[in-house]
Amino acid sequence: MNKVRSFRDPARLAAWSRSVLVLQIALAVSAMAVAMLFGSGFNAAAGGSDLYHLIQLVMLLFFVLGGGVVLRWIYVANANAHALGAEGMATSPALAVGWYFLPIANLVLPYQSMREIWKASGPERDWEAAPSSPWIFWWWMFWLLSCIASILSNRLAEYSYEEDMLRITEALAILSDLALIPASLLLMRIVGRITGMQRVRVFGARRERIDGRG
Amino acid sequence: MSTSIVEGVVEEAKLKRARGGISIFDHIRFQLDDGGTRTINKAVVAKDVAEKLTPGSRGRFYLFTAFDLKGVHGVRSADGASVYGFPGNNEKVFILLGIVNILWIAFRVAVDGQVPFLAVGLIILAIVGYVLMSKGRREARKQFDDDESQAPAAVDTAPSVIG
Repeated sequence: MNKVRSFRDPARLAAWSRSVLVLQIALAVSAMAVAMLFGSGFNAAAGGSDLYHLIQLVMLLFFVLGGGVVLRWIYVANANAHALGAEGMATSPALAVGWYFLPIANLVLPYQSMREIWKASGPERDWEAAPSSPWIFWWWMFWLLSCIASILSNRLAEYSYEEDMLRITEALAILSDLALIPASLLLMRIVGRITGMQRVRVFGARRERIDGRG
Repeated sequence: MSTSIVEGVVEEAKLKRARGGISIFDHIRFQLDDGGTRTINKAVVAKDVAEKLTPGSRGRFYLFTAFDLKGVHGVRSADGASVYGFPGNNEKVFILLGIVNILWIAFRVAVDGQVPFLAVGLIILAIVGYVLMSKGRREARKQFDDDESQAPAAVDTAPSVIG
């Protein structure tokens, strides 16, 4: 069954999402700064930087809590795209969130879903013919790079008693934090633009200029 | 998973490849009777239905989305032809994926007592994929059958099902 959905103003959630992403960037920069100042061995289980490990723990907690906010925005943005009349979207709001938790599929489908939300949020009635944004591609590439580098760093950490392997795991940890910065910046931009496009369609351009933050 | 109906004319149908009873179109564009257009990118269509999607064909076109697939599963054309076909090959792929990974886990448990994470992930993917694809197929069939009274002309050929 195709459900009828009503529009919900995503501005507040978008503002929360962008705040969360700003904090994520700040934490990633802090982690890199601490790692650079400490030098080689910052990520070692014994004798490493306590501050670095603390920041990593906060980042992990924040990733879970902040991720919930961003996923909530994705749910609402997808539901709004349906409510604005986009027929034939491949993902429902629940699936747009669910794809992030489905193994293997979460490498591609969240990206496709975000492209779909972008295209369906624009003014074109024939939304599938509308152009997407290259920001979405680059956001997803940096996000995957950050995740893959982080996973590899953690998996290789058990071999970090070897000097060379320790250096590789630390380089991967820094790469993960580094890639998280453009990924978060791009996602902030995407959240802002999609929110802006949806609000313009419902409230008109004037009100979006007055109280929108997109 | 959703279904929708388009009334109009096929304006453009760019075929990418056709194999194993399934045609994949780069895009299909419909000229709607109300003056607008509707495009479906990367549309997956069963062969019998794909044969009806030629530029200039007029009628009611039945569209589906299931898992990450979208396409056309039925046509009731202005000349009275009625064709149904759901591209269900992915359901079989998901069943195969599930079986292979169950066997893989059984083998690894028997040999070294380990459960491979990748195989567990692939089984989850196979179950979710199968459930969503079969749900999409059922919804598509129901939509097509429920809309029978809307056929442009009442000359109905035997519907075919692929997959």
